Amino acid sequence: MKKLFFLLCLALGMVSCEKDPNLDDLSSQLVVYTDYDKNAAFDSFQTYYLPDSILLLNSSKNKTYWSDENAQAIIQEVANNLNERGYVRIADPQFKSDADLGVQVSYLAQQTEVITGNYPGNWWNCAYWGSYWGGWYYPYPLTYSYNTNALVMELLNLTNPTNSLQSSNKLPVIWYANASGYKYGNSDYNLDLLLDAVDQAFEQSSYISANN
Amino acid sequence: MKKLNRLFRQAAVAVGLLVAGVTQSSAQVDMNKFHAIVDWQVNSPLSNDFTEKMSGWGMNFEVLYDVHPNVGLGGFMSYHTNHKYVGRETLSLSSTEALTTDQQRSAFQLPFGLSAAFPLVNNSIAKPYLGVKTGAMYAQYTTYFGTGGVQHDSWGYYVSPEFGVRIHPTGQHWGLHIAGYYSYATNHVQTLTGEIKGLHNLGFRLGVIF
Repeated sequence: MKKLFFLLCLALGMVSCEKDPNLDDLSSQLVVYTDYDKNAAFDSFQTYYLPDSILLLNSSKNKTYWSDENAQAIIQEVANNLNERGYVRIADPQFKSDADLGVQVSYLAQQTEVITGNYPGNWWNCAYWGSYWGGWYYPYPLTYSYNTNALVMELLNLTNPTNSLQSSNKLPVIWYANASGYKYGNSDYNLDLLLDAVDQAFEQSSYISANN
Repeated sequence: MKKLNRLFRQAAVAVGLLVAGVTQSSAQVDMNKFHAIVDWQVNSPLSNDFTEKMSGWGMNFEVLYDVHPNVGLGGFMSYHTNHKYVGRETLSLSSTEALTTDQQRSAFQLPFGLSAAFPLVNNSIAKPYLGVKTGAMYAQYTTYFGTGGVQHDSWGYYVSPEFGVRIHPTGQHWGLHIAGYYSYATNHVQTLTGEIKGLHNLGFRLGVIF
């Protein structure tokens, strides 16, 4: 009987594990999040200013911008959506002070590096093998990395900064959109994902309209 | 994940110690009255749409001692995982926030505690019984989306009535075990799309009894 209990305890230690889902099922489309100021009257704005380059978010002390043909395609997609909603773009920087809305487009790309330890305590308990052998591990360090990117779009109210902010020259952000996900090596495919995300951000923000 | 693994190992050690304690503590223990059960488990969460899809990713471990011909008492530990893929859709997170994504949902449940079985017939090859389990429930609900996800752990009180049959084809101590069960736990779980109050499950178990 003791042998039986030993086998039972052994089974307890070997077979149990949470089954991980197959994350390959997840779409490569970017996750699109939007939020807005519910006090903002989007139909009170008629014009907007959109710079011809995208701000790159990185650790550099100096501001850097992305302005190649891919960046222009993204900027044009943002402009197309705003134009369809009835807003008029002011293209000449000389007249940007006449705009009701400012559009800030920013981009962040980063690489995440993962290094597994080479010590026995670093188990992978929840993979396929975990169900049968009680986990598995690498007896040597293993390194891998993945790339992610995020596109941030913001609408700023240029017409009426609140009194508390006026003194500090800060402008209220009345709409915020963030599209994030994995970055792929194929730049054309990656651009398509970003353009789809721009359209999705506006699609789920039907309140953005000059003609309400 | 490490926390989960640690929890599981602690629960496994507790059950192991319980088994060892019963066998070592008393020379008067009649081993013919002692039963160990190992089951494969099929489970389906009910009454919430987080992941209602049935799955067979679970096990149940149980020890019982017949304190009376019609009463067996002991302990149990089981675990189960259910998944559900939700296609890309726009979710309203608040009155002003919206999120468009697909989701891979995972519900992991690990109840453990005391169990009791009440055999209805004792002198046949097939021995039907009514049983009840009660104790604590650890639940971990995870929603994977994009490059990350949200995860929430919770604890609750667990109770589960069951009906089963022990089949001893050779008349020996060992045999087969079949049981159907319902369970309820008081856990409150936060998910990406809202809160779930109370976890209901329905399932069955197939296994061996020693």
